[in-house]
Amino acid sequence: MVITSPTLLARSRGADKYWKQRRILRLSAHYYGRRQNCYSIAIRSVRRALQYSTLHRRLNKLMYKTLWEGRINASCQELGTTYNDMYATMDQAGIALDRKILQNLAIWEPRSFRALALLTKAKQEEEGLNSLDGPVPAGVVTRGML
Amino acid sequence: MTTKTWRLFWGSGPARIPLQNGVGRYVQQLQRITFKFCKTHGGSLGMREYIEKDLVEFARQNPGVVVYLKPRRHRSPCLKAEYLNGEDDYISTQKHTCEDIQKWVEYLRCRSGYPVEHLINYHHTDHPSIQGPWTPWLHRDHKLNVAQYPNEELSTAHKLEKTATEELMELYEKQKMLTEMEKTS
Repeated sequence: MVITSPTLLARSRGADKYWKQRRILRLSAHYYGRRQNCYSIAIRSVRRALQYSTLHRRLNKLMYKTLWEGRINASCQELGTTYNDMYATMDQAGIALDRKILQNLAIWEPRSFRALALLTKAKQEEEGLNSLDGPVPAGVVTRGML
Repeated sequence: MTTKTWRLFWGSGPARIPLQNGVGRYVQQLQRITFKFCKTHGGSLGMREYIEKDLVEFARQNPGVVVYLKPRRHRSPCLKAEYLNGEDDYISTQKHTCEDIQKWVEYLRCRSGYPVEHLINYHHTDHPSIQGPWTPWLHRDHKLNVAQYPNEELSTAHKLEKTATEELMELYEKQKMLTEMEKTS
């Protein structure tokens, strides 16, 4: 005779907790105190750390952008222009160098950067940037008053 | 997390030159060096040899460094270096030879006072620059190199804006050029 009732009392209690906790504790290995070894304390810090990392992916890009702009601005001011003028004029001239490359040129290839700055200075006179001479920009209605 | 926190925790960070030392002028960061030794004990033999042979030469070559000698009975020999930022460094020279002490003194002479750190750099390139990196004098006039001071021309006030006269002159010259070009074409 086969007794079948014991198998009906078996319950599935869930996944193995050890491996779930291991995944979290691996991320908290460099924390201070109990936060590195005790799961219920570590999970709070790790969740916050992960939230920060997702939010700061965007901030990282902004941080680098401001850093590069500051560097390019400094090099431009030494050569007699400003970052805004140079970047706008390069756009008009069709030179598609981004901020990362420009700041690298300014530091490591300063003569090339100087050539670009002088080019933009000459071009912006042609385009009439920062002056009342030169062609009127497209889309501006003056009715002959300017 | 700031670089400061990272440095405190890991003892490592990106390369830095405190106060841009060396960009213009280099200032030696070693302020004073103390040689502590025993006059009789065997462990100070190398130290005594160094003091007899090489110390005066070192003092002559580094006039900005104050050298102290501390003969103390029954004490092991050591070097104590203090730096301009207030940090100090201690090296025990017990049973060291004269050559070892020469090398340690050279090490202390060349250090900045900042703690020894592992340098982090996430980039590597064998050829970082072809034209040479930027220096503060790169875009400046070369006549500064051979200028004799006092110099009247270089002591004048910097002109921040063009004067009206200068602008008129420039306009005149531009017009002249344009008329010449029209004539030739």
